[in-house]
Amino acid sequence: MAYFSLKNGCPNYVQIALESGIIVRYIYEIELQAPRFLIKKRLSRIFILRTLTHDNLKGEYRVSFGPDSPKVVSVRTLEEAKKLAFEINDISIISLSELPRGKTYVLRVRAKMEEAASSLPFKGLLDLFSSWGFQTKWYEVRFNY
Amino acid sequence: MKSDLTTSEARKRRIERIIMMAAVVFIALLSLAEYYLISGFSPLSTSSNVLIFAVINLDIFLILLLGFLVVRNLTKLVFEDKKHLLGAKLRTKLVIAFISISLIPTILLFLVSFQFLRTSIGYWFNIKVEKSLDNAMTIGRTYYEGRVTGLELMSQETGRLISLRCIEEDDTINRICIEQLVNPTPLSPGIQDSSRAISLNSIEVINSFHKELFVKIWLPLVDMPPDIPHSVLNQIFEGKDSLLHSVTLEGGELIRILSPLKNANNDILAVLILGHLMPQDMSYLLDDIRSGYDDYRQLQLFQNPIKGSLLITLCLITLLIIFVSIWFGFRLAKSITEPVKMLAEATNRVAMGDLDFSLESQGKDELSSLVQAFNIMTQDIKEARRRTEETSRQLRKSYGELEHRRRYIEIILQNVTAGVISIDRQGFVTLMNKSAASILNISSDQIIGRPYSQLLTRDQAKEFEEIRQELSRSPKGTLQRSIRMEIREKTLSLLASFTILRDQDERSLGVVIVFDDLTELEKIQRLAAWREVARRIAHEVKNPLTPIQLSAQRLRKKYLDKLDNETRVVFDKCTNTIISQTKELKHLVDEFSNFARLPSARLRPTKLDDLVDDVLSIYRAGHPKIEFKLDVQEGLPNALLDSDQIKRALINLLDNAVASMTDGGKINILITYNTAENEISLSVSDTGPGISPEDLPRLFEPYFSRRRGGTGLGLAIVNSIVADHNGHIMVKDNIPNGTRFILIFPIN
Repeated sequence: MAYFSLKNGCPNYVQIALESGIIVRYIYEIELQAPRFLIKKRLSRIFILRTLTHDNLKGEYRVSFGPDSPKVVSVRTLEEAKKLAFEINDISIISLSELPRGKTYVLRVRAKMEEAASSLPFKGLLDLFSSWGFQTKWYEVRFNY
Repeated sequence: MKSDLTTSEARKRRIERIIMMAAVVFIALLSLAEYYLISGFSPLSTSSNVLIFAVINLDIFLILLLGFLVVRNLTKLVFEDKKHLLGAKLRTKLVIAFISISLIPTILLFLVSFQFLRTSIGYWFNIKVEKSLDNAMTIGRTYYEGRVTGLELMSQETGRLISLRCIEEDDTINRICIEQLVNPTPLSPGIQDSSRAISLNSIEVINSFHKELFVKIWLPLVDMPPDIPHSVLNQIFEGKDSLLHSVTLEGGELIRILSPLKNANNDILAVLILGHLMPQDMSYLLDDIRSGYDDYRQLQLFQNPIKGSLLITLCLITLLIIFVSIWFGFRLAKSITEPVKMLAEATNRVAMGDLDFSLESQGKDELSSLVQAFNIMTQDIKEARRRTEETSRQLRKSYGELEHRRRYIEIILQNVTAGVISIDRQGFVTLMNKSAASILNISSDQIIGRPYSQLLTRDQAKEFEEIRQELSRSPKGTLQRSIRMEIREKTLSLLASFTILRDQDERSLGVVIVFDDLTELEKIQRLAAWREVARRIAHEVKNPLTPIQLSAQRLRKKYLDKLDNETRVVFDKCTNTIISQTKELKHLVDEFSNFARLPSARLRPTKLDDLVDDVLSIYRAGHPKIEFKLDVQEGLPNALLDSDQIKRALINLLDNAVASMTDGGKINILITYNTAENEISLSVSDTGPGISPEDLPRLFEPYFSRRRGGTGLGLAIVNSIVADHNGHIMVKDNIPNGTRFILIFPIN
């Protein structure tokens, strides 16, 4: 089980984009590795998605949990939406029975934000000329089990 | 040229196809690589971007290709122009024209489009549009919030009433009570707020076990609302005062407000859910307002990227158009200049004489027709040349035959002993053979091309005119005449044949004169005649002379002493006269006899200088008043001569010379050897009075003498001896005075 949170995941320009009706997607990539002599063996790799939207008319934010879960949570404030989108709890990475004991493992995670959808035409072209997404570096936790 | 062009063109086409295929593969690979590079680790589909990448890559590639092709073609064009290759200048002009034609409107269109784009984007973000959208959004939001607020208030009131009236002491909820509370109409008088009247379309009560305790719905069956998710319900049980949950149905958007139902202890027993169906048309209107507002805000947000992307797209399209137009210009220029170049090269080849080729014509345009016409022309020229060559060959053959005949005739003409002179209709001399020149002692260069009248004396011209008139009257067109002609103080006796030259139409082309020199023949004939006369005279006269002389001597011997003195004197004188005259006659007859009976020459190698010296020694003794001098060239060879006859000839010459110098003088004898002609020359010159010009022609005729007592046979005998030795004799004036006889004998 892993938990982590993303800080400063919604800078001002993302907030403006959200309020302009752009759907923003957060992708969390979680990897569990077993370091070897020269390489790191990847034991598990998980992607977690959070999609954030804003309804200007209703004045609410929606957070969807995907890609497999149909769960959508509507909240009144951005802070609530950010909490839902940025705080990842109780993520099952791998069964303990699959991990040999007495070894060192590396759990690492990184986040990527991108524009998921826009109503504008030539979206791909706009992406090329106005790329405002970001990607964090890897954050690692080394542990022994 | 045909095969070369075909091979070259096919090779070029193949290379172009390979380049095209490689370009397609290259673009695909590049697009894929860029897609993965830009997508990074994302597993999500961004398929819409692939097309964009492909288009951009294609454009980049085309731009690079454009640059390459333009630079390549321009470089090629410049080099071809510098090398002054055929068609380069025309192609340069065409390319410049096409580029200008394409560039100017394209750039103009680009500038106008760019300005139009800026203006259009400015209109998009007009302040009035923004305000209208904001107002619309505010209206929509107010409407929606009014509904929600009204529903919330209704929910609070309904919840309060239910909590007061319908919750039992054991915290159970009385369904009948709720039923009575909401009946008979959705808007019960107890909970109706006239100021915020909204229709209630559903009332649900769900306990903490997510079990429906009460459900009352006033909606069509097809629009039955879905259950509220447990997670949402849980939020109410967890203490949330109110929750809004909306769902879109076919009849419109169902807004549902969730609120807790609490007992007296303020414990949450259940969740009250009140639903209001917002009409579909209104729901659509609100959606449109929201969608338009979002689009506008997004456009505003991406204003600069949109401008940039549109500008770049415009640039790419402009470059694409320029590329296509330049490329088209190159192709068009090539399609025009290539046939022209091909024609020019072909013309050069034709000019250099190469006709064994044909140009390949493609298409059905005017240039193709021109190429076909050129091919036909080349074939015609080739055929004409073949015929010309054939004709030329036949002409050469004919000319060769004619030349052969001409040379043959010329050789005949030059080698015949007869002289031939041809005169055309205008009276100009057109031909004169070597014999004619030799006979007339004149060069043909002085005669040919000149009118004959200028070459004749007045008398000769008159005579020739008479001949011409007689010739014109002659039915056969031929006339033979014996002519005596004075040429350079020499009288020639000619037998001339005049013939009119006529062509196939019997038109006169001129006159040809064929003549023989009979001068020598006449001389020989005359000499022979004289010899015959001399022989007969000698025969007829000599016989009676001896009896006459003997008779006169006998008379003298028998009767001289018997006569008286007077008679004896007469008798003596007469008999002496008879005897002396008889001796003279005898001598004369002997001379005749010698002349008539000149023996044939017996030629033997003779040393001429010794022979001459022997003769001179006799004359030196007999003529002391005359100086005799002999000059002999060194290295004089022996000549085949009859020494007796040469002595006789020399004595005759010396006699004449001595006789001409009664008061003394000088006689020079010069013997020389001409190695070139292999002749030996004997020259005898005196310082006497010389020979008058009028006597020269008859000098060697027998019995012609200006000397008193001369028989006129001496020089005739000399001439005869020289002729017997196959030599010839010449008479010249001795400088300053006297006569010089030159006898020329061949060595062999």
